[in-house]
Amino acid sequence: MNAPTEAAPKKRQGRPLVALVGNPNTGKSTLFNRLTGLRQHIANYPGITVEKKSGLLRAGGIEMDLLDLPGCYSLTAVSNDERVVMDVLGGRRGLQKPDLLVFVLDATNLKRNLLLVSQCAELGIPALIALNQCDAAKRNGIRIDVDLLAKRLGVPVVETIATRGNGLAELRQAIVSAIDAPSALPKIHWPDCITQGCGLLRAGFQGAGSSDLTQAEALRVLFDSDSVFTCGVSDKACVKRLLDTAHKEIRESGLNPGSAEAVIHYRHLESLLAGVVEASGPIARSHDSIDALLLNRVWGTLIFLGVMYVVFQSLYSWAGPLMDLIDAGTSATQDMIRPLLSATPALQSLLCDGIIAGVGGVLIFLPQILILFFFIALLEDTGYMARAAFLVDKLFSWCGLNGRSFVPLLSSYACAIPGVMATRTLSDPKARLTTILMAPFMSCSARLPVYILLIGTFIEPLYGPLVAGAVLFAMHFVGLALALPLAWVLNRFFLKIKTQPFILEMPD
Amino acid sequence: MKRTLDTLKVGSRAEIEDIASDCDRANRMATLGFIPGRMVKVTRFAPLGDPISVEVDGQEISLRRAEAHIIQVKNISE
Repeated sequence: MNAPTEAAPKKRQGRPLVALVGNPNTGKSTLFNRLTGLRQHIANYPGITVEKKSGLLRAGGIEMDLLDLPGCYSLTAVSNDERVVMDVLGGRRGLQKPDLLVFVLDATNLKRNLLLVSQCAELGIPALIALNQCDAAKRNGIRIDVDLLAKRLGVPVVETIATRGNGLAELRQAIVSAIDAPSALPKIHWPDCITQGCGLLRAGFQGAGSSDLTQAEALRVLFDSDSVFTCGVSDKACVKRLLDTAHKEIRESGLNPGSAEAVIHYRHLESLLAGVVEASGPIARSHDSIDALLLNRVWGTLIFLGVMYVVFQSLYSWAGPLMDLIDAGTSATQDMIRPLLSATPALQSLLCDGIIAGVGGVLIFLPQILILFFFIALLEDTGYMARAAFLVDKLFSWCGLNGRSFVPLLSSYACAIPGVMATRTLSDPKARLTTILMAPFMSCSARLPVYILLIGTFIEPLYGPLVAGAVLFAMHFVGLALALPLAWVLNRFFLKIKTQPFILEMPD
Repeated sequence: MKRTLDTLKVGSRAEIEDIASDCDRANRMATLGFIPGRMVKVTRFAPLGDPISVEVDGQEISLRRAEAHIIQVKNISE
Protein backbone atom coordinates (compact mmCIF):
# COMPACT_ATOMS: atom_id res chain seq x y z
CA MET A 1 0.00 0.00 0.00
CA ASN A 2 1.25 3.42 -0.91
CA ALA A 3 0.90 6.15 1.61
CA PRO A 4 -1.02 9.07 0.11
CA THR A 5 2.03 11.32 0.24
CA GLU A 6 4.05 8.84 -1.80
CA ALA A 7 1.29 8.29 -4.31
CA ALA A 8 0.72 11.99 -4.88
CA PRO A 9 3.67 12.76 -7.19
CA LYS A 10 2.68 9.81 -9.41
CA LYS A 11 -0.72 11.27 -10.07
CA ARG A 12 -1.36 13.05 -13.30
CA GLN A 13 -3.24 16.28 -13.69
CA GLY A 14 -6.91 15.52 -13.10
CA ARG A 15 -8.49 12.13 -12.64
CA PRO A 16 -7.44 9.19 -14.79
CA LEU A 17 -9.95 8.31 -17.49
CA VAL A 18 -10.99 4.68 -17.78
CA ALA A 19 -13.18 3.61 -20.72
CA LEU A 20 -15.35 0.52 -21.03
CA VAL A 21 -15.17 -0.90 -24.55
CA GLY A 22 -16.97 -3.91 -25.97
CA ASN A 23 -19.48 -5.45 -28.36
CA PRO A 24 -23.20 -4.80 -27.90
CA ASN A 25 -24.97 -7.19 -25.49
CA THR A 26 -21.89 -8.03 -23.44
CA GLY A 27 -23.25 -6.59 -20.20
CA LYS A 28 -21.06 -3.50 -20.50
CA SER A 29 -23.72 -1.12 -19.26
CA THR A 30 -24.62 -3.40 -16.34
CA LEU A 31 -20.97 -3.43 -15.37
CA PHE A 32 -20.84 0.34 -15.72
CA ASN A 33 -23.84 0.75 -13.42
CA ARG A 34 -22.34 -1.65 -10.90
CA LEU A 35 -19.01 0.16 -10.89
CA THR A 36 -20.28 3.71 -10.66
CA GLY A 37 -23.50 3.21 -8.70
CA LEU A 38 -25.52 6.39 -8.87
CA ARG A 39 -22.59 8.68 -9.52
CA GLN A 40 -23.35 8.94 -13.21
CA HIS A 41 -23.43 11.78 -15.64
CA ILE A 42 -25.18 11.54 -18.96
CA ALA A 43 -24.49 14.05 -21.71
CA ASN A 44 -24.00 14.18 -25.46
CA TYR A 45 -20.76 14.02 -27.34
CA PRO A 46 -20.04 17.39 -28.93
CA GLY A 47 -21.76 17.82 -32.27
CA ILE A 48 -23.21 14.32 -32.41
CA THR A 49 -26.35 12.82 -30.89
CA VAL A 50 -24.73 9.93 -29.13
CA GLU A 51 -25.18 9.59 -25.42
CA LYS A 52 -22.03 10.01 -23.39
CA LYS A 53 -22.31 8.06 -20.18
CA SER A 54 -19.66 8.78 -17.64
CA GLY A 55 -19.42 8.21 -13.93
CA LEU A 56 -17.15 8.41 -10.96
CA LEU A 57 -15.26 5.27 -10.05
CA ARG A 58 -13.70 5.06 -6.61
CA ALA A 59 -11.30 2.23 -5.95
CA GLY A 60 -8.17 1.77 -3.88
CA GLY A 61 -8.36 5.32 -2.56
CA ILE A 62 -8.23 6.99 -5.98
CA GLU A 63 -10.99 8.57 -8.00
CA MET A 64 -11.31 7.88 -11.68
CA ASP A 65 -13.68 8.88 -14.44
CA LEU A 66 -15.34 5.88 -15.99
CA LEU A 67 -16.68 6.20 -19.51
CA ASP A 68 -19.17 3.74 -20.99
CA LEU A 69 -18.49 3.78 -24.73
CA PRO A 70 -21.27 2.70 -27.13
CA GLY A 71 -21.17 -1.01 -27.97
CA CYS A 72 -19.57 -1.85 -31.30
CA TYR A 73 -18.37 -4.97 -33.08
CA SER A 74 -15.34 -3.46 -34.71
CA LEU A 75 -13.64 -0.14 -35.33
CA THR A 76 -15.19 0.01 -38.79
CA ALA A 77 -16.99 3.27 -38.22
CA VAL A 78 -20.38 2.98 -39.85
CA SER A 79 -22.73 4.42 -37.29
CA ASN A 80 -22.38 7.53 -35.18
CA ASP A 81 -21.91 5.26 -32.17
CA GLU A 82 -18.89 3.67 -33.75
CA ARG A 83 -17.53 7.03 -34.83
CA VAL A 84 -17.67 8.16 -31.22
CA VAL A 85 -15.69 5.10 -30.13
CA MET A 86 -13.01 5.94 -32.67
CA ASP A 87 -13.00 9.63 -31.68
CA VAL A 88 -12.59 8.83 -28.00
CA LEU A 89 -9.95 6.15 -28.48
CA GLY A 90 -7.98 8.40 -30.78
CA GLY A 91 -8.41 11.42 -28.50
CA ARG A 92 -9.85 13.37 -31.41
CA ARG A 93 -12.23 16.37 -31.46
CA GLY A 94 -10.83 17.64 -28.18
CA LEU A 95 -11.91 14.51 -26.33
CA GLN A 96 -9.62 13.22 -23.62
CA LYS A 97 -7.81 10.05 -24.61
CA PRO A 98 -8.46 7.28 -22.06
CA ASP A 99 -5.62 6.24 -19.75
CA LEU A 100 -6.95 2.71 -19.55
CA LEU A 101 -9.31 0.61 -21.64
CA VAL A 102 -11.40 -2.03 -19.92
CA PHE A 103 -12.61 -4.45 -22.57
CA VAL A 104 -15.84 -6.13 -21.59
CA LEU A 105 -15.99 -9.45 -23.42
CA ASP A 106 -18.74 -12.00 -23.74
CA ALA A 107 -17.10 -15.25 -22.64
CA THR A 108 -19.54 -17.27 -24.73
CA ASN A 109 -18.22 -15.74 -27.94
CA LEU A 110 -14.65 -14.92 -27.12
CA LYS A 111 -13.12 -14.98 -30.58
CA ARG A 112 -15.48 -12.46 -32.14
CA ASN A 113 -15.28 -10.27 -29.04
CA LEU A 114 -11.49 -10.30 -29.17
CA LEU A 115 -11.49 -8.91 -32.69
CA LEU A 116 -12.23 -5.45 -31.33
CA VAL A 117 -9.48 -5.91 -28.74
CA SER A 118 -7.08 -6.92 -31.46
CA GLN A 119 -7.98 -3.85 -33.51
CA CYS A 120 -7.60 -1.56 -30.51
CA ALA A 121 -4.17 -2.98 -29.76
CA GLU A 122 -2.85 -0.76 -32.56
CA LEU A 123 -3.72 2.31 -30.47
CA GLY A 124 -1.24 1.34 -27.77
CA ILE A 125 -3.50 2.36 -24.90
CA PRO A 126 -3.01 0.32 -21.69
CA ALA A 127 -5.75 -2.25 -21.33
CA LEU A 128 -7.30 -4.90 -19.17
CA ILE A 129 -9.97 -7.47 -19.88
CA ALA A 130 -13.20 -8.14 -18.01
CA LEU A 131 -14.36 -11.57 -19.10
CA ASN A 132 -18.08 -11.25 -18.57
CA GLN A 133 -20.92 -13.79 -18.65
CA CYS A 134 -18.61 -16.50 -17.36
CA ASP A 135 -21.60 -18.32 -15.91
CA ALA A 136 -23.27 -18.57 -19.32
CA ALA A 137 -20.02 -19.81 -20.84
CA LYS A 138 -19.72 -22.54 -18.20
CA ARG A 139 -23.35 -23.53 -18.79
CA ASN A 140 -22.60 -23.90 -22.49
CA GLY A 141 -19.63 -26.12 -21.71
CA ILE A 142 -17.02 -23.53 -22.67
CA ARG A 143 -13.92 -23.67 -20.50
CA ILE A 144 -11.54 -20.73 -20.62
CA ASP A 145 -8.02 -20.84 -19.23
CA VAL A 146 -7.97 -17.30 -17.86
CA ASP A 147 -4.33 -17.32 -16.76
CA LEU A 148 -3.16 -18.50 -20.15
CA LEU A 149 -5.34 -15.91 -21.89
CA ALA A 150 -3.83 -13.16 -19.72
CA LYS A 151 -0.35 -14.44 -20.46
CA ARG A 152 -0.95 -14.54 -24.22
CA LEU A 153 -2.59 -11.10 -24.31
CA GLY A 154 -0.06 -9.57 -21.95
CA VAL A 155 -2.77 -7.77 -19.97
CA PRO A 156 -4.71 -8.73 -16.82
CA VAL A 157 -7.92 -10.72 -17.32
CA VAL A 158 -10.67 -10.65 -14.66
CA GLU A 159 -13.67 -12.95 -14.64
CA THR A 160 -16.95 -11.19 -13.93
CA ILE A 161 -20.67 -11.87 -13.87
CA ALA A 162 -22.04 -8.34 -14.11
CA THR A 163 -25.69 -9.29 -13.65
CA ARG A 164 -24.92 -10.83 -10.25
CA GLY A 165 -22.10 -8.48 -9.31
CA ASN A 166 -19.49 -11.25 -9.12
CA GLY A 167 -15.86 -10.34 -9.67
CA LEU A 168 -16.39 -6.61 -9.19
CA ALA A 169 -13.97 -6.25 -6.27
CA GLU A 170 -11.30 -8.02 -8.33
CA LEU A 171 -12.06 -5.79 -11.30
CA ARG A 172 -11.72 -2.61 -9.21
CA GLN A 173 -8.43 -3.89 -7.85
CA ALA A 174 -7.22 -4.73 -11.35
CA ILE A 175 -8.17 -1.24 -12.60
CA VAL A 176 -6.18 0.41 -9.81
CA SER A 177 -3.17 -1.82 -10.44
CA ALA A 178 -3.37 -1.20 -14.18
CA ILE A 179 -3.41 2.57 -13.64
CA ASP A 180 -0.26 2.25 -11.52
CA ALA A 181 1.50 -0.28 -13.69
CA PRO A 182 -0.05 -0.20 -17.16
CA SER A 183 0.42 -2.98 -19.69
CA ALA A 184 -0.52 -2.68 -23.34
CA LEU A 185 -1.75 -5.31 -25.78
CA PRO A 186 0.76 -6.75 -28.24
CA LYS A 187 0.39 -5.33 -31.73
CA ILE A 188 -0.40 -7.63 -34.58
CA HIS A 189 2.25 -8.39 -37.17
CA TRP A 190 0.96 -7.10 -40.49
CA PRO A 191 2.05 -8.46 -43.87
CA ASP A 192 4.37 -6.17 -45.82
CA CYS A 193 1.73 -5.14 -48.35
CA ILE A 194 -0.40 -3.68 -45.57
CA THR A 195 2.47 -1.92 -43.81
CA GLN A 196 3.44 -0.45 -47.16
CA GLY A 197 -0.16 0.59 -47.80
CA CYS A 198 -0.21 2.40 -44.47
CA GLY A 199 3.06 4.12 -45.24
CA LEU A 200 1.67 5.24 -48.58
CA LEU A 201 -1.44 6.67 -46.95
CA ARG A 202 0.50 8.44 -44.24
CA ALA A 203 2.85 10.03 -46.74
CA GLY A 204 -0.07 10.92 -48.98
CA PHE A 205 -2.08 12.53 -46.19
CA GLN A 206 0.92 14.55 -45.13
CA GLY A 207 1.34 15.70 -48.71
CA ALA A 208 -2.33 16.67 -48.91
CA GLY A 209 -1.71 19.05 -46.02
CA SER A 210 -4.14 17.39 -43.64
CA SER A 211 -3.30 16.33 -40.11
CA ASP A 212 -0.80 13.50 -39.83
CA LEU A 213 -2.10 9.98 -39.54
CA THR A 214 -0.84 7.60 -36.91
CA GLN A 215 -0.22 4.00 -37.88
CA ALA A 216 -3.50 2.98 -36.22
CA GLU A 217 -5.42 5.66 -38.10
CA ALA A 218 -3.81 4.72 -41.40
CA LEU A 219 -5.03 1.15 -40.90
CA ARG A 220 -8.58 2.41 -40.40
CA VAL A 221 -8.41 4.46 -43.58
CA LEU A 222 -6.95 1.54 -45.49
CA PHE A 223 -9.71 -0.88 -44.50
CA ASP A 224 -12.58 1.50 -44.10
CA SER A 225 -12.69 4.18 -46.77
CA ASP A 226 -15.62 5.88 -45.02
CA SER A 227 -13.69 6.21 -41.77
CA VAL A 228 -13.71 9.36 -39.66
CA PHE A 229 -10.19 10.21 -40.71
CA THR A 230 -11.06 10.77 -44.34
CA CYS A 231 -13.92 13.12 -43.48
CA GLY A 232 -11.59 16.02 -42.70
CA VAL A 233 -9.74 15.76 -45.98
CA SER A 234 -11.04 18.07 -48.65
CA ASP A 235 -9.28 16.38 -51.55
CA LYS A 236 -11.47 13.26 -51.84
CA ALA A 237 -10.03 12.31 -55.22
CA CYS A 238 -6.55 12.25 -53.74
CA VAL A 239 -7.69 9.91 -50.95
CA LYS A 240 -9.32 7.64 -53.49
CA ARG A 241 -6.21 7.55 -55.64
CA LEU A 242 -4.07 6.67 -52.61
CA LEU A 243 -6.50 3.95 -51.53
CA ASP A 244 -6.69 2.46 -55.00
CA THR A 245 -2.91 2.17 -55.18
CA ALA A 246 -2.72 0.65 -51.70
CA HIS A 247 -5.55 -1.80 -52.42
CA LYS A 248 -3.97 -2.83 -55.70
CA GLU A 249 -0.81 -3.72 -53.83
CA ILE A 250 -2.78 -5.78 -51.31
CA ARG A 251 -4.55 -7.61 -54.14
CA GLU A 252 -1.24 -8.37 -55.83
CA SER A 253 -0.12 -10.06 -52.61
CA GLY A 254 -3.10 -12.38 -52.91
CA LEU A 255 -5.27 -10.75 -50.27
CA ASN A 256 -8.74 -9.25 -50.59
CA PRO A 257 -8.67 -5.67 -49.28
CA GLY A 258 -12.27 -6.12 -48.17
CA SER A 259 -11.61 -9.01 -45.86
CA ALA A 260 -7.86 -8.87 -45.29
CA GLU A 261 -8.09 -7.08 -41.96
CA ALA A 262 -10.57 -9.56 -40.49
CA VAL A 263 -8.74 -12.55 -41.97
CA ILE A 264 -5.42 -11.49 -40.45
CA HIS A 265 -6.95 -10.62 -37.08
CA TYR A 266 -8.89 -13.88 -36.86
CA ARG A 267 -5.83 -15.90 -37.88
CA HIS A 268 -3.90 -14.16 -35.10
CA LEU A 269 -6.74 -14.78 -32.62
CA GLU A 270 -7.09 -18.43 -33.54
CA SER A 271 -3.47 -19.12 -32.69
CA LEU A 272 -3.81 -16.95 -29.59
CA LEU A 273 -6.85 -18.87 -28.39
CA ALA A 274 -5.43 -22.33 -29.13
CA GLY A 275 -5.49 -24.16 -25.82
CA VAL A 276 -7.24 -21.27 -24.09
CA VAL A 277 -10.82 -22.02 -25.04
CA GLU A 278 -12.14 -25.53 -24.82
CA ALA A 279 -15.71 -26.23 -25.85
CA SER A 280 -17.10 -29.59 -24.84
CA GLY A 281 -19.27 -30.69 -27.70
CA PRO A 282 -21.29 -28.43 -29.96
CA ILE A 283 -22.41 -25.20 -28.41
CA ALA A 284 -26.06 -25.52 -27.49
CA ARG A 285 -27.54 -22.09 -27.10
CA SER A 286 -30.33 -22.12 -24.59
CA HIS A 287 -32.53 -19.98 -26.79
CA ASP A 288 -32.31 -22.15 -29.91
CA SER A 289 -35.50 -24.11 -29.29
CA ILE A 290 -37.41 -21.00 -28.23
CA ASP A 291 -36.20 -19.20 -31.35
CA ALA A 292 -37.47 -22.06 -33.49
CA LEU A 293 -40.91 -21.08 -32.26
CA LEU A 294 -40.53 -17.30 -31.89
CA LEU A 295 -39.03 -16.87 -35.35
CA ASN A 296 -41.23 -19.43 -37.07
CA ARG A 297 -43.06 -18.11 -40.12
CA VAL A 298 -46.52 -18.88 -38.84
CA TRP A 299 -46.18 -19.16 -35.08
CA GLY A 300 -43.62 -16.38 -34.81
CA THR A 301 -45.92 -13.99 -36.64
CA LEU A 302 -48.89 -15.02 -34.53
CA ILE A 303 -46.89 -14.63 -31.32
CA PHE A 304 -45.66 -11.23 -32.48
CA LEU A 305 -49.21 -10.05 -33.15
CA GLY A 306 -50.33 -11.61 -29.88
CA VAL A 307 -47.61 -9.86 -27.88
CA MET A 308 -48.42 -6.52 -29.47
CA TYR A 309 -52.12 -7.08 -28.87
CA VAL A 310 -51.53 -7.86 -25.20
CA VAL A 311 -49.43 -4.70 -24.84
CA PHE A 312 -52.15 -2.46 -26.22
CA GLN A 313 -55.06 -4.28 -24.65
CA SER A 314 -53.47 -3.95 -21.21
CA LEU A 315 -52.80 -0.31 -21.95
CA TYR A 316 -56.50 0.07 -22.59
CA SER A 317 -57.73 -1.89 -19.57
CA TRP A 318 -55.04 -1.18 -16.97
CA ALA A 319 -54.52 2.51 -17.54
CA GLY A 320 -58.26 3.30 -17.42
CA PRO A 321 -58.86 2.85 -13.67
CA LEU A 322 -55.63 4.66 -12.78
CA MET A 323 -56.57 7.55 -15.05
CA ASP A 324 -60.00 7.72 -13.45
CA LEU A 325 -58.28 7.81 -10.06
CA ILE A 326 -56.04 10.71 -11.07
CA ASP A 327 -59.01 12.49 -12.62
CA ALA A 328 -61.06 12.01 -9.43
CA GLY A 329 -58.10 13.18 -7.35
CA THR A 330 -57.78 16.33 -9.44
CA SER A 331 -61.47 17.21 -9.06
CA ALA A 332 -61.40 16.40 -5.34
CA THR A 333 -58.44 18.74 -4.81
CA GLN A 334 -60.18 21.44 -6.81
CA ASP A 335 -63.37 21.02 -4.78
CA MET A 336 -61.40 21.13 -1.54
CA ILE A 337 -59.49 24.30 -2.37
CA ARG A 338 -62.25 26.22 -4.14
CA PRO A 339 -64.31 27.11 -1.00
CA LEU A 340 -61.17 28.10 0.92
CA LEU A 341 -60.30 30.80 -1.60
CA SER A 342 -63.78 32.11 -2.38
CA ALA A 343 -62.73 35.51 -0.98
CA THR A 344 -60.11 35.96 -3.73
CA PRO A 345 -61.66 34.80 -7.03
CA ALA A 346 -58.52 35.56 -9.04
CA LEU A 347 -56.31 33.34 -6.86
CA GLN A 348 -59.03 30.69 -6.74
CA SER A 349 -59.19 30.57 -10.51
CA LEU A 350 -55.41 30.53 -10.87
CA LEU A 351 -55.02 27.64 -8.43
CA CYS A 352 -58.05 25.51 -9.32
CA ASP A 353 -58.57 26.10 -13.02
CA GLY A 354 -54.95 26.85 -13.82
CA ILE A 355 -52.39 24.99 -11.76
CA ILE A 356 -54.39 22.01 -10.47
CA ALA A 357 -56.27 21.42 -13.72
CA GLY A 358 -53.05 21.85 -15.70
CA VAL A 359 -50.96 19.49 -13.60
CA GLY A 360 -53.85 17.01 -13.48
CA GLY A 361 -54.14 17.18 -17.26
CA VAL A 362 -50.50 16.15 -17.61
CA LEU A 363 -50.50 13.57 -14.80
CA ILE A 364 -53.42 11.76 -16.39
CA PHE A 365 -51.12 10.48 -19.18
CA LEU A 366 -48.66 9.03 -16.71
CA PRO A 367 -50.27 5.56 -16.25
CA GLN A 368 -50.26 4.85 -20.00
CA ILE A 369 -46.72 6.05 -20.45
CA LEU A 370 -45.54 4.00 -17.47
CA ILE A 371 -47.27 0.84 -18.64
CA LEU A 372 -45.94 1.18 -22.18
CA PHE A 373 -42.42 1.88 -21.00
CA PHE A 374 -42.65 -1.12 -18.71
CA PHE A 375 -43.48 -3.30 -21.72
CA ILE A 376 -40.76 -1.75 -23.87
CA ALA A 377 -38.18 -2.41 -21.14
CA LEU A 378 -39.50 -5.95 -20.74
CA LEU A 379 -39.32 -6.67 -24.47
CA GLU A 380 -35.82 -5.18 -24.70
CA ASP A 381 -34.45 -7.07 -21.73
CA THR A 382 -35.86 -10.42 -22.77
CA GLY A 383 -34.30 -9.99 -26.20
CA TYR A 384 -37.68 -10.12 -27.91
CA MET A 385 -37.14 -6.71 -29.52
CA ALA A 386 -34.30 -8.08 -31.66
CA ARG A 387 -36.49 -11.01 -32.69
CA ALA A 388 -39.37 -8.69 -33.51
CA ALA A 389 -36.98 -6.61 -35.62
CA PHE A 390 -36.04 -9.76 -37.54
CA LEU A 391 -39.69 -10.67 -38.08
CA VAL A 392 -40.86 -7.30 -39.31
CA ASP A 393 -37.75 -5.97 -41.08
CA LYS A 394 -39.12 -6.62 -44.55
CA LEU A 395 -42.22 -4.65 -43.66
CA PHE A 396 -40.02 -1.60 -43.13
CA SER A 397 -37.01 -2.19 -45.39
CA TRP A 398 -38.80 -1.38 -48.66
CA CYS A 399 -39.35 2.18 -47.53
CA GLY A 400 -35.87 2.88 -46.18
CA LEU A 401 -36.55 2.02 -42.56
CA ASN A 402 -35.36 -1.21 -40.99
CA GLY A 403 -36.43 -3.76 -38.39
CA ARG A 404 -34.75 -1.73 -35.70
CA SER A 405 -37.01 1.20 -36.55
CA PHE A 406 -39.72 -0.87 -34.99
CA VAL A 407 -38.38 -0.10 -31.51
CA PRO A 408 -38.43 3.71 -31.83
CA LEU A 409 -41.73 3.55 -33.70
CA LEU A 410 -43.26 1.44 -30.96
CA SER A 411 -41.89 3.90 -28.40
CA SER A 412 -43.60 6.64 -30.37
CA TYR A 413 -46.88 5.01 -29.46
CA ALA A 414 -46.19 6.22 -25.93
CA CYS A 415 -44.88 9.57 -27.04
CA ALA A 416 -43.00 10.73 -30.12
CA ILE A 417 -40.30 12.36 -28.01
CA PRO A 418 -38.85 9.21 -26.42
CA GLY A 419 -39.44 7.59 -29.81
CA VAL A 420 -37.21 10.12 -31.52
CA MET A 421 -34.69 9.65 -28.72
CA ALA A 422 -34.78 5.89 -29.23
CA THR A 423 -33.66 6.35 -32.86
CA ARG A 424 -30.13 6.71 -31.50
CA THR A 425 -30.02 2.94 -31.54
CA LEU A 426 -30.34 2.98 -35.34
CA SER A 427 -26.92 2.77 -36.88
CA ASP A 428 -28.11 3.57 -40.38
CA PRO A 429 -28.34 7.38 -40.74
CA LYS A 430 -30.95 7.03 -43.47
CA ALA A 431 -33.19 4.76 -41.42
CA ARG A 432 -32.61 6.98 -38.42
CA LEU A 433 -33.71 10.18 -40.12
CA THR A 434 -36.68 8.50 -41.75
CA THR A 435 -37.71 6.95 -38.46
CA ILE A 436 -37.51 10.33 -36.72
CA LEU A 437 -39.75 11.83 -39.41
CA MET A 438 -42.21 8.96 -39.14
CA ALA A 439 -42.35 8.91 -35.36
CA PRO A 440 -45.00 11.65 -35.04
CA PHE A 441 -47.32 9.66 -37.33
CA MET A 442 -47.51 6.94 -34.74
CA SER A 443 -50.48 7.29 -32.53
CA CYS A 444 -48.95 8.71 -29.35
CA SER A 445 -50.51 8.07 -25.98
CA ALA A 446 -51.76 11.65 -25.73
CA ARG A 447 -54.19 10.72 -28.49
CA LEU A 448 -55.25 7.60 -26.64
CA PRO A 449 -57.71 9.35 -24.29
CA VAL A 450 -59.38 10.79 -27.38
CA TYR A 451 -59.67 7.34 -28.94
CA ILE A 452 -60.88 5.86 -25.67
CA LEU A 453 -63.46 8.59 -25.32
CA LEU A 454 -64.73 8.18 -28.90
CA ILE A 455 -64.62 4.38 -28.82
CA GLY A 456 -66.29 4.39 -25.40
CA THR A 457 -69.03 6.62 -26.75
CA PHE A 458 -69.66 5.17 -30.19
CA ILE A 459 -68.27 1.62 -30.37
CA GLU A 460 -68.43 0.07 -26.92
CA PRO A 461 -72.18 0.57 -26.24
CA LEU A 462 -73.05 -0.86 -29.65
CA TYR A 463 -70.58 -3.72 -30.11
CA GLY A 464 -69.25 -4.52 -26.64
CA PRO A 465 -65.81 -4.19 -25.03
CA LEU A 466 -64.10 -6.86 -27.17
CA VAL A 467 -64.73 -5.01 -30.43
CA ALA A 468 -63.83 -1.74 -28.70
CA GLY A 469 -60.40 -3.17 -27.84
CA ALA A 470 -59.92 -4.36 -31.41
CA VAL A 471 -60.88 -0.95 -32.82
CA LEU A 472 -58.38 0.72 -30.51
CA PHE A 473 -55.76 -1.74 -31.78
CA ALA A 474 -56.67 -0.94 -35.38
CA MET A 475 -56.48 2.81 -34.77
CA HIS A 476 -52.81 2.42 -34.03
CA PHE A 477 -52.22 0.88 -37.44
CA VAL A 478 -53.76 3.79 -39.32
CA GLY A 479 -50.78 6.03 -38.55
CA LEU A 480 -48.39 3.28 -39.57
CA ALA A 481 -50.25 2.64 -42.82
CA LEU A 482 -49.89 6.31 -43.65
CA ALA A 483 -46.30 6.68 -42.50
CA LEU A 484 -44.71 3.86 -44.49
CA PRO A 485 -45.68 5.01 -48.01
CA LEU A 486 -44.67 8.52 -47.02
CA ALA A 487 -41.29 7.22 -45.85
CA TRP A 488 -40.87 5.58 -49.24
CA VAL A 489 -41.67 8.82 -51.09
CA LEU A 490 -39.29 10.69 -48.83
CA ASN A 491 -36.44 8.27 -49.40
CA ARG A 492 -37.12 7.92 -53.10
CA PHE A 493 -37.17 11.60 -53.91
CA PHE A 494 -35.68 13.64 -51.09
CA LEU A 495 -33.24 11.84 -48.81
CA LYS A 496 -30.30 10.60 -50.79
CA ILE A 497 -28.43 8.81 -48.06
CA LYS A 498 -26.49 5.60 -48.47
CA THR A 499 -28.20 2.56 -46.96
CA GLN A 500 -26.26 0.70 -44.34
CA PRO A 501 -26.24 -3.03 -43.82
CA PHE A 502 -28.81 -4.40 -41.43
CA ILE A 503 -27.14 -6.88 -39.16
CA LEU A 504 -28.66 -8.26 -36.03
CA GLU A 505 -27.44 -10.54 -33.30
CA MET A 506 -29.97 -12.44 -31.23
CA PRO A 507 -29.30 -11.73 -27.57
CA ASP A 508 -30.05 -14.43 -24.99
CA MET B 1 -21.10 -19.99 -61.77
CA LYS B 2 -20.49 -18.30 -58.43
CA ARG B 3 -23.15 -18.95 -55.80
CA THR B 4 -23.81 -16.39 -53.12
CA LEU B 5 -25.12 -16.82 -49.59
CA ASP B 6 -28.52 -15.33 -50.40
CA THR B 7 -29.29 -18.13 -52.88
CA LEU B 8 -29.06 -20.91 -50.27
CA LYS B 9 -32.11 -22.68 -48.90
CA VAL B 10 -32.91 -23.02 -45.21
CA GLY B 11 -30.85 -25.80 -43.68
CA SER B 12 -28.06 -25.75 -46.26
CA ARG B 13 -24.42 -25.45 -45.37
CA ALA B 14 -21.59 -24.06 -47.40
CA GLU B 15 -18.05 -22.85 -47.17
CA ILE B 16 -17.37 -19.15 -47.56
CA GLU B 17 -15.20 -18.65 -50.60
CA ASP B 18 -14.74 -14.90 -50.73
CA ILE B 19 -16.38 -11.58 -50.08
CA ALA B 20 -16.99 -9.21 -52.98
CA SER B 21 -14.45 -6.52 -52.27
CA ASP B 22 -16.75 -3.52 -52.27
CA CYS B 23 -14.63 -2.33 -49.40
CA ASP B 24 -16.56 -0.88 -46.46
CA ARG B 25 -19.36 -3.42 -46.45
CA ALA B 26 -16.99 -6.30 -47.03
CA ASN B 27 -14.83 -5.26 -44.11
CA ARG B 28 -17.84 -5.05 -41.84
CA MET B 29 -19.12 -8.48 -42.82
CA ALA B 30 -15.66 -9.97 -42.49
CA THR B 31 -15.11 -8.56 -39.01
CA LEU B 32 -18.40 -10.14 -37.96
CA GLY B 33 -16.96 -13.52 -38.83
CA PHE B 34 -17.77 -14.01 -42.52
CA ILE B 35 -14.27 -14.87 -43.61
CA PRO B 36 -13.11 -17.23 -46.36
CA GLY B 37 -12.77 -20.85 -45.29
CA ARG B 38 -15.42 -20.79 -42.58
CA MET B 39 -18.59 -22.85 -42.75
CA VAL B 40 -21.91 -21.07 -42.85
CA LYS B 41 -25.37 -22.55 -42.30
CA VAL B 42 -28.66 -20.92 -43.19
CA THR B 43 -30.89 -21.40 -40.15
CA ARG B 44 -34.07 -19.61 -41.14
CA PHE B 45 -35.80 -16.98 -43.22
CA ALA B 46 -37.95 -14.24 -41.70
CA PRO B 47 -41.71 -14.64 -42.29
CA LEU B 48 -41.55 -12.32 -45.30
CA GLY B 49 -38.48 -14.05 -46.75
CA ASP B 50 -36.02 -11.34 -45.79
CA PRO B 51 -33.84 -10.97 -43.68
CA ILE B 52 -32.25 -14.37 -43.30
CA SER B 53 -30.60 -15.85 -40.26
CA VAL B 54 -27.31 -17.69 -40.58
CA GLU B 55 -24.90 -19.46 -38.30
CA VAL B 56 -21.23 -18.76 -38.67
CA ASP B 57 -18.43 -19.66 -36.24
CA GLY B 58 -20.90 -20.67 -33.52
CA GLN B 59 -22.92 -17.46 -33.59
CA GLU B 60 -26.24 -16.66 -35.15
CA ILE B 61 -26.47 -13.48 -37.18
CA SER B 62 -29.38 -12.00 -39.11
CA LEU B 63 -28.69 -10.14 -42.29
CA ARG B 64 -30.61 -8.96 -45.30
CA ARG B 65 -30.39 -10.75 -48.61
CA ALA B 66 -28.65 -7.71 -50.08
CA GLU B 67 -25.82 -8.17 -47.59
CA ALA B 68 -25.78 -11.94 -47.98
CA HIS B 69 -25.35 -11.35 -51.71
CA ILE B 70 -21.78 -10.10 -51.33
CA ILE B 71 -20.71 -13.37 -49.71
CA GLN B 72 -19.63 -16.00 -52.23
CA VAL B 73 -19.97 -19.63 -51.18
CA LYS B 74 -18.80 -23.03 -52.44
CA ASN B 75 -19.08 -26.73 -51.49
CA ILE B 76 -22.79 -26.36 -50.86
CA SER B 77 -24.68 -29.21 -49.23
CA GLU B 78 -28.40 -28.60 -49.42
